[in-house]
Amino acid sequence: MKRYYLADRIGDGTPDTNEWRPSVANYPVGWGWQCPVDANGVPLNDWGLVEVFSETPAAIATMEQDPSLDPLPYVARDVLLSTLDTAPVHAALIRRGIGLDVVLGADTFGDLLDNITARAASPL
Amino acid sequence: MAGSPFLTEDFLAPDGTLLENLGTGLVRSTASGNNGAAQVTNSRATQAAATNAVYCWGSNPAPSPNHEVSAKYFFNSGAGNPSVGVCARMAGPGGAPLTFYQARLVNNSSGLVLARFLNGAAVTLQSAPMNFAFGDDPKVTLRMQGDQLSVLLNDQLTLGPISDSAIPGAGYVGLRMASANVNQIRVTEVRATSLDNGPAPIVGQLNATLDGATISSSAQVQVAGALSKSLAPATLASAAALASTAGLTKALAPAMLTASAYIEAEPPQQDGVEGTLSKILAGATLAASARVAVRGALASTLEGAILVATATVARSSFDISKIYPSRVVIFEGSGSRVTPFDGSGSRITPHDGSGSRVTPFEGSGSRITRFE
Repeated sequence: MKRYYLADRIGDGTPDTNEWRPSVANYPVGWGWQCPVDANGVPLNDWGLVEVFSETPAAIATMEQDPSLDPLPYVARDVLLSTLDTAPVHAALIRRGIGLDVVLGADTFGDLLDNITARAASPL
Repeated sequence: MAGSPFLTEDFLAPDGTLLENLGTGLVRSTASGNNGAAQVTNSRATQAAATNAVYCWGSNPAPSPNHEVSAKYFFNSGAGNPSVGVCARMAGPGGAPLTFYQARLVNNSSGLVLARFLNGAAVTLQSAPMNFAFGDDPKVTLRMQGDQLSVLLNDQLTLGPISDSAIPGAGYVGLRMASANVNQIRVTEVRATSLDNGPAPIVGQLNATLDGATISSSAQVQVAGALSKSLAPATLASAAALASTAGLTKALAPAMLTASAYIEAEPPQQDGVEGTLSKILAGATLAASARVAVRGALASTLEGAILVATATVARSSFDISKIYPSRVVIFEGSGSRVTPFDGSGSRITPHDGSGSRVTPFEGSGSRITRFE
């Protein structure tokens, strides 16, 4: 089971030294994200959905104190959202201007991830 | 994953040779800030100056967007945070802003990284922290199948797959070295393989084929079994490749390899020769930039062969480091034996160990200089 975060986008696109990346990159974990860009290579969003695939407990504990990161529920993709406390997710979506429809139109946690990915490619 | 190799680079040239002078189609970027030089050091590519070095194999575009490119690294130092990566779907040679996908290692920092460069701006798509020490020789592979990107470390999937469709074209394969810590990471070899289904390889024996045949540009012969008596007297044109996963014998007598054609023999790998390579090139002609790389046994070769201009024959462990048109420099171990060229003016200089034997031909002007 992987951890997912909504993360601030940091960097300015400078190769190597300050590439566009999620704030998760500040921590010693393995991570990946999709970063849709315009025709000039500039990211469409100031946030990103990040998947963390390798981690340490210490790194996770530190990350979860970082206000630039909003942890999403640590559950399997097929878990029904109706069984989860989604209030923190709602707050994060509103604060980042992502739109609540991505959660209101989802049945499972996997649906939510898919909806957020689609919203990243087509921002409001 | 099965596929058809379309690029092989072993950086076989004297130390100090700039990559654009290897004769293998490498072109240096002219884009400001990315036009630094890379050169050969001990048969490896290394950044020559602090300016970022970006190269692509400009004469050898990828046959399709679906391919993988791998590089074998060598850590000449475990310090600092040098950044060296293989690139694919590159926009091509010239001075245009950088556009490509890159799999790189950044030691003591972000580790293994998958990045996307688009018009000179870069996004880190995936990263996994890891460090390497002096002498480590990891292999990094960037694999692209449609919009699915992944990175393998020592043939193990480490990053991805991840979806990204920003750079869909086939483009070119290349290298990027970007670091003030020049010369800490070297690249030993680069391989690129198409992942599209091509002609089915020959699984069994291939005997007595290709007599008089001509293999045109980019054609490939890949044989899973033994390959014998082939290519006599075939011609391999530019960029043609011949590889066998078993013994390769009696090939190329008296075939011609023109510019950039190559014959390759290696230990068991997906695109090399597992067995020995013997009796090739007897009477063969290697034109400028043709290459023969052998990492298995190499026996009885080069009898009467002609190597033109920058043609190179190398054997693993640096047993044979350089061959010039009429001069062979050989570093031999115990029990070695050398059969030199026949011809006027040829010269052989063995630097040998105990038990070595040299059997010269009696050509006019032949000379053997031996250092005990």
